[in-house]
Amino acid sequence: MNSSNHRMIVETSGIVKRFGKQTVLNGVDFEMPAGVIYGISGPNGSGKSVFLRILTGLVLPDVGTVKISGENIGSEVEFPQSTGALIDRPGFIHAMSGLRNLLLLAKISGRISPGEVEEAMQVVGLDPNDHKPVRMYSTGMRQRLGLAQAIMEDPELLILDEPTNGLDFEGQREIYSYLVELRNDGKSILITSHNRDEIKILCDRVFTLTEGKLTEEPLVREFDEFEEIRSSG
Amino acid sequence: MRFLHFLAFQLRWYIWRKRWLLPLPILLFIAYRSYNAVRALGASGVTPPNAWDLLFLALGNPYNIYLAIGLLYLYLLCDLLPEPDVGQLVLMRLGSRRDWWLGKLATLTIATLVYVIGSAAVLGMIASLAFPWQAGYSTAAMNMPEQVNLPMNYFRLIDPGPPLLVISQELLLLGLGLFCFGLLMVVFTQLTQRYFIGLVAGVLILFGSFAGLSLSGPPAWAVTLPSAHLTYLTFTPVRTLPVIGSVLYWSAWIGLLAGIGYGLSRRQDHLSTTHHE
Repeated sequence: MNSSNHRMIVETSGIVKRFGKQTVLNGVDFEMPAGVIYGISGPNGSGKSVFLRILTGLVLPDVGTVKISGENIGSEVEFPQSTGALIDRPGFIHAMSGLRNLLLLAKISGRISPGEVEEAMQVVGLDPNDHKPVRMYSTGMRQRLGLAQAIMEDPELLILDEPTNGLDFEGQREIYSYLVELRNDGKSILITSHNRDEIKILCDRVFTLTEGKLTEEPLVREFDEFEEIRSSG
Repeated sequence: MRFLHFLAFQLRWYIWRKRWLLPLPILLFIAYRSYNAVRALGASGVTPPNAWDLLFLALGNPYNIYLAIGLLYLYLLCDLLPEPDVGQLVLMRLGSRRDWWLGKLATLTIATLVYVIGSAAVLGMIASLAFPWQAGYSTAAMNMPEQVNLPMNYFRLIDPGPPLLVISQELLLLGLGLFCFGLLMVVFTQLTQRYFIGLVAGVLILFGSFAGLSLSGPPAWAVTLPSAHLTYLTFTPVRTLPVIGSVLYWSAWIGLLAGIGYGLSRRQDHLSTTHHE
């Protein structure tokens, strides 16, 4: 990978991860500077989620090192505190409202006020005063709530696995616009999707994960209706 | 502060849920059966039974302890691990695997206390409704201890102390034993990442202990079995093991399992789960 003049937010070196006899990641080197959107595509089961989990500290690599914002994950810190993540399905307490779920998470991190939680909900198009329990949320609403929990603590790095899952076209456009806005504010965003078109719409660089290896793909944009979003801000 | 919020979340997630209502009908059934047995005891003799007799009958019955109370305890806590998706969001914010493991141990401890004390309270309430409380043993218990599930020759061979002390020791050992079984279940789940395997391991140990009760003699090595320590009321002619020995027995196992669990938690991978409440 090419080095960048920017400060590196993500640096991984020689990541290997095995589950039993299966090698999911086989020597992944990856660097990501501040203020960019990078995308990783790959078929289902290619190890995208495992890679993202390694970046969040939830999964530990067998071999290799991970640095997030300059801190070694596993030795200096166990979980990067400057990271917001939405991986796989967003998990919540289904009997509670969306706001109560987020307030509960915010209490544990202790870094934001209830007002900021409400603001995050509004940004993703959810009403904080909606008291219905999460079990009554549609797939799209749950996805938005998952995004709200990822962004609410204003992280430097956002890790988003299939961020527009379950959203309609308008919802996707809203999220894309918001992500571009975040990038323009200097945040780094790493997106994975099995849908290559989705990440080509948004990303500054695109990678493919196959057979445990990460390779960069040439970026050929085909969805020009999103040009306006990409260049906004 | 983060740890306390994490613990509050754990308790909300694992204890404040519908499955924790299950013990109620089961304990009421145990109390009902014990009540009938105590009433029959009162009807057959001249001596009036008291509330302690119901507790001795309920907690001194191995079927109640192993096949109802023990089994239900394992079921209630079988999904303490692997960490559900929402728990993983919490873990990332907690920021420490050590605190996470301590939180799991604290949750298991509080859940065990709630379960054991709650169970005794339900049985005690039913006993209060039906029979009087007395400071000492009923004459029925003194004359024929085996009729209320106290060991035979109980009062002839030892001075057991007042009934409150006996029940307290019973609950102490039951609590320690159940906690240990729960911890074993958690460690097996950590090893396999499947809560069902942890549950099966816990149930096998529980049933193995139950089978240990039927050893005739019993042989000297039987004191190493969990069945010799799980309850104060031992179902043998008289308990020869000191209570402190059983406390040390459970403490040693708990220390070992907690240490193994801590070691595993340092390297634990938290993958996606299908668990949702």
